[in-house]
Amino acid sequence: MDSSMTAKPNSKNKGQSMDVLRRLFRSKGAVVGLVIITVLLIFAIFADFIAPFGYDDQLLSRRLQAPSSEHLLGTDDYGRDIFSRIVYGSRTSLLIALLSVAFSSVIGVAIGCIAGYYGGRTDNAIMRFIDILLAIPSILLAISISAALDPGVINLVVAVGIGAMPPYARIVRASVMSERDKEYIEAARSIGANDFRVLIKHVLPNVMAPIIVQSTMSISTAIITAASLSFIGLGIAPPTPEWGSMLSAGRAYIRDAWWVVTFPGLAIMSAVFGFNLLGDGLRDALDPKLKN
Amino acid sequence: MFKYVLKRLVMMIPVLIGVSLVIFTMVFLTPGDAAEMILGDLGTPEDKALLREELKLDEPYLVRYIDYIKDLVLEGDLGTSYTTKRPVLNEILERFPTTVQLAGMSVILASVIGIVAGIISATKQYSIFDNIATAVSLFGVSMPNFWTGLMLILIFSVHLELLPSSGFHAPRYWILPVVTLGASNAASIMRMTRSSMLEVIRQDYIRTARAKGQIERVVIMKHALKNASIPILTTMGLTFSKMLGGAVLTESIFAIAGIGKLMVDAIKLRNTPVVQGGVIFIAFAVSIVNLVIDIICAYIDPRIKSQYVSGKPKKKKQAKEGVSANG
Repeated sequence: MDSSMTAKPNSKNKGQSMDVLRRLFRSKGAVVGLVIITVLLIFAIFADFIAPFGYDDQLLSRRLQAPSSEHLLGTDDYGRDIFSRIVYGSRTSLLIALLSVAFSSVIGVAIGCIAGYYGGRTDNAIMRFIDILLAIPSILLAISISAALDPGVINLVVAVGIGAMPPYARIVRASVMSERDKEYIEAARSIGANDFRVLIKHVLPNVMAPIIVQSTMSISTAIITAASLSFIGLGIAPPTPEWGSMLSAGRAYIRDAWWVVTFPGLAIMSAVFGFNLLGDGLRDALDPKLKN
Repeated sequence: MFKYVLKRLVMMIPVLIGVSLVIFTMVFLTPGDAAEMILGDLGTPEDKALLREELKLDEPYLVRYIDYIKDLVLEGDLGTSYTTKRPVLNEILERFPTTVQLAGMSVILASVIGIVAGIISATKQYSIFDNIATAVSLFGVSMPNFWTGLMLILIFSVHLELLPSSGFHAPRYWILPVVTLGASNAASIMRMTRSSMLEVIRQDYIRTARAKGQIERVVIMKHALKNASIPILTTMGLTFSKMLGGAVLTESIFAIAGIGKLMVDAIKLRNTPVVQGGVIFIAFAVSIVNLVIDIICAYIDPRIKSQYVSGKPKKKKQAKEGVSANG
């Protein structure tokens, strides 16, 4: 076989990826989103070097101090530096969001693939289970799950992840159903590929676009859901800094110290805004037909 | 149509049984002893054992679930609250109107703002208004509503002292919670309206309407909006049903005695009958809202209605009606 023939699909894929990247970087919104996310990731990774104080450095003599040159975003009721806690909090919040999206996407994609590929009774049984989960508002589902589990990062990831899983299953199922009867799948089966190989090697790469878009959008939802759970006391236990629990703790001082509730909320909003911008940009770049 | 509604109502039964099974299992797996929770330190071990027997807490999982479902189906009994000792259904029904009122007003506010802004954005695509509205809507969907609520309290209650920060018993008290819940949803309705309208106004029948000399307002409001309304209406319906159970944080911030606050308080106190009953009740309400939205969509769009009139979609008739609906 001519080597140029075998190289062709690879170069085509590379070309497509470059096209997507070019379209992505041409979108101002997506670039702004990427910048915000990069800053947050730098905060999370290098928190020990960026934060001027430890996240639990308490000093009651400096409690509820307004923003100043010493404490950029002020201090909370324990005298802890809010900027430092937000920087460390990015670690917790991003970790929970990314892990829960990974959790929900792996399970949702697996379920969606099986339902869409096998169809019939398997599909019916799986989709009825998804209907059950969808009948419960996702925040309520996450609240119920996190109440059933002890507080902690992993349990919060599970609670947020299960609540976010049903949309993946539906999106992937629909995409797999439209792919499964195509000729290239039949060709793969005819040369003896088993179902697992067909799904992983052939079907999955062709349904990746909606999964990538859904994952990016889900990160922002996961950040809000995790912060919401912490806000009502079902998420991360103190003193671990988490943006939602910082807001919750600051509520009591809203009349005297506006900064305690303002800045953690701004941090949540910036992160969500960044992922939404990137998600919008990715959706347009992966499928320009969807633009608008 | 009647057959369709009936079929959908029947289809709700297995979903609700599934919801009850999922939530019952979750509550069953929740650590902690209900007898311990109810009696606290005051109860003797004998009292606790008696209570456990009375509440059938020592029974196997399946027996407890079957008993629960039997009571629910035969008597509409969702159990008794551990804290107030009152029927869970009564507690829910007392709180539910408040949540419906909050969700309803928020959806109306969100829809008015979202649809108007979405139509203007779509008809004046890439104008200054469109760019500002798109940016504001992106901020709107990015703001967690519990933070929006706190910011509104900070500005309008703490600093300006114009509006109360808690309660929901008079019109003045409605403003902040309704704006809090409506703001982010206005943004998502605006985004949906804009994209649906953009899709519709590029179609040939709109060009034909304009070519006939139809005035722009009629083209947009009569020809375009009607055909773009299905996804908008679906978003509004989903927003409303999401709020029925998802207004938890808004209710908690503004101390509104709705079903969301009831649930959060119950979860914190491990008041499991209220948690179970609340989730099943909300799932039922969400299913009904979704059904109503589907029926409204069918009435608006003859193409959807034609699928329901007979058991299976009528392709020829559907295509014909599609053409006539498109002008």
